[in-house]
Amino acid sequence: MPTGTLLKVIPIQNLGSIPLLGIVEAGFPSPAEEELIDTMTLDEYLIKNKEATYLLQASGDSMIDAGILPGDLVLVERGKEAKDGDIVIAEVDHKWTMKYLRKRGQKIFLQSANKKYPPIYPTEELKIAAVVQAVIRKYHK
Amino acid sequence: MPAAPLTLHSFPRAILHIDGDAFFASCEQSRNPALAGKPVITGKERGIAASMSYEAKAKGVTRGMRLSEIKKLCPDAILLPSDYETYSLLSKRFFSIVRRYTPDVEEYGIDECFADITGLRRTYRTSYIHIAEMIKKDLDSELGFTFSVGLGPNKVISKIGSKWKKPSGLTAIPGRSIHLFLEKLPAEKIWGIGPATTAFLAKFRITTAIQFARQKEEWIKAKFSKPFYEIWQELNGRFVIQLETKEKDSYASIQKVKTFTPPSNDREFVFSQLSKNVENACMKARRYNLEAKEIIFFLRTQDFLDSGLRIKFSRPTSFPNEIMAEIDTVLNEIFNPRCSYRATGIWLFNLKNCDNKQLDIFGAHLRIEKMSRLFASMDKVRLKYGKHTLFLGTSFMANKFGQHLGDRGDLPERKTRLLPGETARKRLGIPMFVGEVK
Repeated sequence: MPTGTLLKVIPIQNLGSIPLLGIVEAGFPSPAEEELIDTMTLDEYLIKNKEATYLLQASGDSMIDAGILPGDLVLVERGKEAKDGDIVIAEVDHKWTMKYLRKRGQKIFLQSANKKYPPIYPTEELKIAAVVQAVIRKYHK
Repeated sequence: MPAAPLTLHSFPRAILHIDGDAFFASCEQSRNPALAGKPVITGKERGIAASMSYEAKAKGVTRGMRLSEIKKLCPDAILLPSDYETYSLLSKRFFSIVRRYTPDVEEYGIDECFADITGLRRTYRTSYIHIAEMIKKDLDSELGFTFSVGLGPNKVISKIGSKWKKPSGLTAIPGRSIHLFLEKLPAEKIWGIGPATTAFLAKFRITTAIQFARQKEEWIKAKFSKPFYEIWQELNGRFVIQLETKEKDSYASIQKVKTFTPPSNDREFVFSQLSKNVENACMKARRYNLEAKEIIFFLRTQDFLDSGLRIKFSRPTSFPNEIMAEIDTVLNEIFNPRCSYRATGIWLFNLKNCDNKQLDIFGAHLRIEKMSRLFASMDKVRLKYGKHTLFLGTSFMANKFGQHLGDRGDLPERKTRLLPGETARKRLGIPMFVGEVK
């Protein structure tokens, strides 16, 4: 039985590189190998711009109706243009606040996901630091 | 008649020097809005100012100032312990962002770099100045704080540019304009010219950068050594000093030195401090597949007197338990229980590559081949933050207590506010916004 060496070739994010599917052991083809090559890691799935991604730990209950609980880990991205309906990290009264961004024509304001809290209408220019990309909650240490 | 330019070419090469504005202090301000616009100073654990925000600089705080002085000068100053983990993460991001534009990047310290953007006008279909603007914009928006950029035909001129306007400056100095900047620059402000050279130049009535630059080439070559001749050439618009873009892939020696507070005359405690340093140094060695044939370890007393031992081993090693076992047998040569010690340090040198080494369970026991006492005082080495999950029993005592007890023992918030699954020694490699989120 001829034997060959199994080589795995993983496509990398290089400009102009052609992703290869892989070299398969001579003798018995392995379809599973082919299927695995185009996978992404959890990092790649959650983080698009590595240099601009930051962590934040949520405190308070202003966004619980959006599924963000106190203690949750939030992944945020700086430098992105925030759109209406995005959950953003904004600077209000020298503190971070995490709210929905709402744009109604010229009016820009922040909205909570909790009936307890009224919307925030900023008096000065609203400073948006980052846009929330994902929420992470671990149940075991 | 207007003064003649030093060179007629604008940018035969285009070199950027990019410098973070008040880097450590800015790292802190960018992740906690409560600190914006305030005088923020890092370095609390050292007792001196390491970095200060522009608000603190305006109050007169300078690098190296003692905390007691700062409190007098600026009573509302916010003093923070250094969070090297976060600063390093942000520094790596800084370099990655610049590397999106060009691979020719020289990392010059934690908060500065040079970048060669020669020839990129075609790629980006725009001017060098605009490319510099794009890089600066990416840095400012993705890192959350400002950088100052200088664009010039070489490193020396680009460094003059980045310092010209701070913070958040962008200064382009094409070759034909160099003389206009040098006219306004004292000689001692040139990169590479220190007090000794400034005094020497003064003897020839040379006090400004332009006077130095306009000297005849033959005279410079005759009176100055190569480095200064290179600086003179660059001031005249020539590109002489290359960018060192290769990432460090080998080390001539690995050093770990750490101070602890309060000082101690307890042998076990001092031994555990030394053990921690040895572990960190060995981890670094193993990361680069290196082993050390020789080490120097030393103890520093409260009076800043150093005593050390230089040891040559029977074979190279990168395993801390072997090294500590040998150090234990000879520590009493230099340890004096009547002395109060403040720091320990280790140097691993005579480093050998160990890529293809087989680990031999029955390997030869490590022995000391040669040993000599050292009396010269050691240079203080840059402190580095260590990261690991397991530590030797011998360093347990060092790890049980904070490195510094008392005011200097304040830990950065990142170390105290752990996420589920993180430990004090191992954390997610993503910088965190601090402060309460409403």
